[in-house]
Amino acid sequence: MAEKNVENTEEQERLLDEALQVVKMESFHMKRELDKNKLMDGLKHASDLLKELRTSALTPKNYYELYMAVCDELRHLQSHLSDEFQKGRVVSDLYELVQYAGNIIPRLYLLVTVGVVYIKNKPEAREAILKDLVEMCRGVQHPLRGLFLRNYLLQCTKNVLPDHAIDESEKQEGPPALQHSIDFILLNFAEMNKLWVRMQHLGHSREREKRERERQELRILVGTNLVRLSQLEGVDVNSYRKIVLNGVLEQVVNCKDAIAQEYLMECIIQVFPDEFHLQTLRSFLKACADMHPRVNVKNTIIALIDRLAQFAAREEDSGIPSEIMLFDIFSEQIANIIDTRSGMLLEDVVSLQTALVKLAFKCYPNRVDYVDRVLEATMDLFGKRNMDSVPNGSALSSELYNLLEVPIKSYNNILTVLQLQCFAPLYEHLDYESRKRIGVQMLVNALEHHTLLPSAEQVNSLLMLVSPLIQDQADQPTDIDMDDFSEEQGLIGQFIHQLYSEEPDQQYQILNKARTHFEKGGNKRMIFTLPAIVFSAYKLAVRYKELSDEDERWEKKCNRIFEMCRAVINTLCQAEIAELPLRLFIQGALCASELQFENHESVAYEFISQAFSLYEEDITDSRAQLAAVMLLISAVERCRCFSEDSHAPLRTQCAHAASRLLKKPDQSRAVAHVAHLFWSGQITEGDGEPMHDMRRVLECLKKAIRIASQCMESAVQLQLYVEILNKYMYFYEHGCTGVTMELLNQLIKKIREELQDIEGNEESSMIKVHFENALEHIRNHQQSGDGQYSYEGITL
Amino acid sequence: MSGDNLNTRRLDAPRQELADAYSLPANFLEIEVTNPETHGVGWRQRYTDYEIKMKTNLPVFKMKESLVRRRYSDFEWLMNELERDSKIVVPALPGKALKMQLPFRNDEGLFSESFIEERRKGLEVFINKVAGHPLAQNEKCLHMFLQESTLDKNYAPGKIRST
Amino acid sequence: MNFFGYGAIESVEILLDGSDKRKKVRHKVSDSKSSEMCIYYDGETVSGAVSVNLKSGAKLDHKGIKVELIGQIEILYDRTNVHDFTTLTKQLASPGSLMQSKVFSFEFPHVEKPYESYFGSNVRLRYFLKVTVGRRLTDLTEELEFVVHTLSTYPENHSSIKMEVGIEDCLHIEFEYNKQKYHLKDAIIGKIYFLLVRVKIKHMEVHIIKRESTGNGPNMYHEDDTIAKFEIMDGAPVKGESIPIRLFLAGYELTPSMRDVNKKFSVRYFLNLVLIDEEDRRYFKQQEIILWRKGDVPRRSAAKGIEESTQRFGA
Repeated sequence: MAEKNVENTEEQERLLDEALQVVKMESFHMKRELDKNKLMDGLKHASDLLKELRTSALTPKNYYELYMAVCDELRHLQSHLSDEFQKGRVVSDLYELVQYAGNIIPRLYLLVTVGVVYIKNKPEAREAILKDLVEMCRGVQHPLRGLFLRNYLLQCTKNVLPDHAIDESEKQEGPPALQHSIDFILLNFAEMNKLWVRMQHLGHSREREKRERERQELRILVGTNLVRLSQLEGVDVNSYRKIVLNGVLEQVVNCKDAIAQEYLMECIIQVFPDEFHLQTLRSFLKACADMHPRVNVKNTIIALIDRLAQFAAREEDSGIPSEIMLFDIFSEQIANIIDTRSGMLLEDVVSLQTALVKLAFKCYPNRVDYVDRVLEATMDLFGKRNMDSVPNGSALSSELYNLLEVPIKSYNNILTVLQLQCFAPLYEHLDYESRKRIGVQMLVNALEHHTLLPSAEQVNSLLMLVSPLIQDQADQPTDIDMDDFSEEQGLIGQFIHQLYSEEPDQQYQILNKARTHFEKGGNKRMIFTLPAIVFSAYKLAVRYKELSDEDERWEKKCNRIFEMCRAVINTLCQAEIAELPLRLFIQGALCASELQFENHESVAYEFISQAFSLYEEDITDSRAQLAAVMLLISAVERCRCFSEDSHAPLRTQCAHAASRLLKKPDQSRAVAHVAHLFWSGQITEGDGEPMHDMRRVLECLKKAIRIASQCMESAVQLQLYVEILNKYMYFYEHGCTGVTMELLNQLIKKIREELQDIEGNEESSMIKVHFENALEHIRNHQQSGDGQYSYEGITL
Repeated sequence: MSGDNLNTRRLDAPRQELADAYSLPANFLEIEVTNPETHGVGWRQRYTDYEIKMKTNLPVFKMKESLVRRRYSDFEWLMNELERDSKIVVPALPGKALKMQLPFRNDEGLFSESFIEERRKGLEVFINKVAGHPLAQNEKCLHMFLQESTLDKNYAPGKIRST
Repeated sequence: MNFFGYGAIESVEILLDGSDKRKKVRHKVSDSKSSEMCIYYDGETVSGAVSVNLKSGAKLDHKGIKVELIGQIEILYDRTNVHDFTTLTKQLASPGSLMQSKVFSFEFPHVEKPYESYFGSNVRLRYFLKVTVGRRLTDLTEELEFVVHTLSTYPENHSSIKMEVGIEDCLHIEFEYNKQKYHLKDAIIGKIYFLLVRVKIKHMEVHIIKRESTGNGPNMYHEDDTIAKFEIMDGAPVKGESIPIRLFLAGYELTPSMRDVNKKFSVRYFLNLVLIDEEDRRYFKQQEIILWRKGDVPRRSAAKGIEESTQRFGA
């Protein structure tokens, strides 16, 4: 009979089968004798079938099967006895009779069965019997058999426990009746928990894990006591606090067994109503602090917090009663728990804090200070445990990330997040990857929720928090995924538009602050970030101009903006890309030109000349050169702010640059483009009229033709001619009288001749179409005959 | 006692101290006989010994964990000592296996794996029975057998505690 | 006994006065048989009638008819050792002739019956009435056994048996039985309290042992009989555990404790507490209890059920 239940499954099945057979047979005899009204013989067979439960050979699972089969049969016996009672056939001394059973297991099962029949028929004996049953069961100290016996007791007494606080019929003894029920269950619970914990020590120590598994399988038996307690309707908050919870926790805390504690604490949370939990938070949480070190109390507390948060959400009207300082209690008790349980892992500590933050958010959405308090406490704990930096990929890192993510996702307003004093210092503990992920979270959140950052301080704080995206970090890895990188930088670029204040001065501060961050981003980042800053700055200058009536210092401010932009663009120049800064300078020049503040001419001039320098010094690729030259020419053309003294050198510079391009076709096109500069360019002396320097226009176009004629490839040459033809037509139609029909005819003729020689291919047919379009245009003008530009004398 | 012949009288239990209720059982004793090794060569020279690994929380034993090696004849010695000095009924050792020692066998005889395993199990049962016996626990020979690395068969027999 | 048969006598019957109303009990008459007998108590008058029935038309010459009340102790292993501790005689008829059946009434007033009837393994104590019809060749005798119950009254004594026992450093328990003296329908209420458990206990039982002692001095002979085996604990307790005992006595075949009955024998009862460990070693402690018979308190028909109950479940 030693504790050696047989391992072999087949053998187990055989043993179980045999036992079930005996139960079946004895139960058959029992029923037959009962039907014949031979009670004593019936009981004898009941006792014999119960003897099967004395076995030590079955695994807990199979013992349970056997137990269930036995219970079925006992139910039959119980209802038979009840009938006998009701028919008035007094079965006197039954309670004594069954106690003659020599073996304790059958004796106690019978005693419980008979006892319950007595209670049902003689309620006045209830207390005495219940007390007797729960005490007599002490005789079974074998954990498995004791657990099942006491479970049987619990099942049988299910409907006979008085559960009302005050019964009308027994008013004077009302509360004591309830008290008896509670005492009864509590005692049974204590005994069962004891057996359950002791089960751990059964058998050989090498089978510890197997026994832990088996205990987990049996835990529901112990938990049923708590369920039963929760079903006592008479238990109110007061009796729950004073009697029930105290009684339960006393056992849970003192059993010092991790499996029991983990399960039972969870059980308490799940079976009792939230209203009770709210009133007993302190006791419950204090008990959490006293759990065995192997118990992960974090899970327990989080389960409780989740329950209460759900409760708060569900009962929106009533909510958490205001007199219960839910958050204060939790934060004070959690602090106590963490303090007491020095062995608690920091990641578990953090995940507790996360739960606390969630609670604060769900129950007190307006109390940002609550969240901050949690973060502060967390920070202090990092300090106490000398945790400076959290290793990448560690559980702690992911827990801390989870904690910091809560305010972002809960508030959906990064401005609120920025109000948290301890968010940033805590964030600093994170590893590079997690910091970066937090940064991305914040940016995405701001974009999704259209959150604008309206002050330089806020911008500053935020950019510190996203700094892994903005500048190199001491702890960043050497390998960087370029796709991720561009995506992140693109996000930053988008985000810069969220840096916005209605107040222009503030906006200036914002941009100025932002640039100091972005300028530290290094070459690979600046190209994503600084252009956006520059564009925002130009927009700001426009806003100042619009507000010129209200702000007398607007011109100075504009000046300052351009000064800043120049500096920013110059920084960008270090990135060894010239086109982008060149464009920014040109854009700045155009902007300055439009705004007409005090110093705008020199600003525009400076910007354009900087663009020229960039062109000359840093742009080497011929295509880029062409594009740059074209841009420069257009810019000078469009700037209306220059006096002749400024404009002249710029014009010359453009013409010079155009004619110095490396490739002939480029030269030709650029030179042709310069023509526009001489035609529509304006100088301040011109009273708003374009220059219309016909001579220089024609010179340019002729020069373009000359250069085109030097091209080796006839198709290219032809294409250029067609383009120049179009230019001629443009200037003709814009009143450039120097463009004569003769000139046009010459050029058309030349194109026609060349077209005949060219070999037919896709390229040449394209050119042909282009040419035909031009001729068609001329034809239309001739036919419409509306006078001024009727191309008279063109031979088509 | 209720009027209805319902005798529920008891001597009620004093409240058990919670520390006791949940205490570790004070009767922990586990002895494993494992790891048999055969030493030596030749008739009468060759023998098998076993590891005797003991874990206990019984205060009567000096060490809570111990590990010694013993051979069959050591077990016989222990049995003889106990039979001579204590009043207990000493359980039987697994058989001497005289047949296994006959010459001209087809297997390894005393040194075949299956025989050793069977003997090992028998010795384990034997030593657990003996060591768990309250009276045997008084005998010096048992303690020496279980916890001292060399077995001094010339020891002075005696009791560990008075009965 | 009657080698020559009854002759003229059809039958001799002994009838006890009021036997239809008198309380009766089943009492063993041999190891396998028992019969229903009237119960008498100490000092009670035993009276009745002897009916000598003759065959029709027969005539009986006799040398006198007498009735005796005998109290007798018989030691079984020594057939010669029969000892009558009480012999009372009433002459019913002087020698003469009986022409027809006749009924003789008799009365033994206030008979002292110092001992309880007892049917043991090695000793029996019996009371019986013996009618002897003296005849020429062989006397004719007829016997009727009746049962004597000795009633005691003990003050409701609350002093319990309480004792700490054990094996040093191994097993310490304290047992407590609520009384030292139990009447035969009593229940033993007790508990076992564990102070130290360093052996691996598997079960605990309480046995009721009857010890019948016969003979004297060096020839004293004991016979132990386990009347009840009652498991009170399954599994191993730890320190501080208290295991309840409630053992009803009514269902077992028990007699009052008897000490030195007529210097011939004693019957004593012991509660034997037995702990069994995983290696089936037994640790036990015997404690004598005194059983006594209580003056009758009317009980309902329960007794029968209880008797059946022990037969069915009793170990």
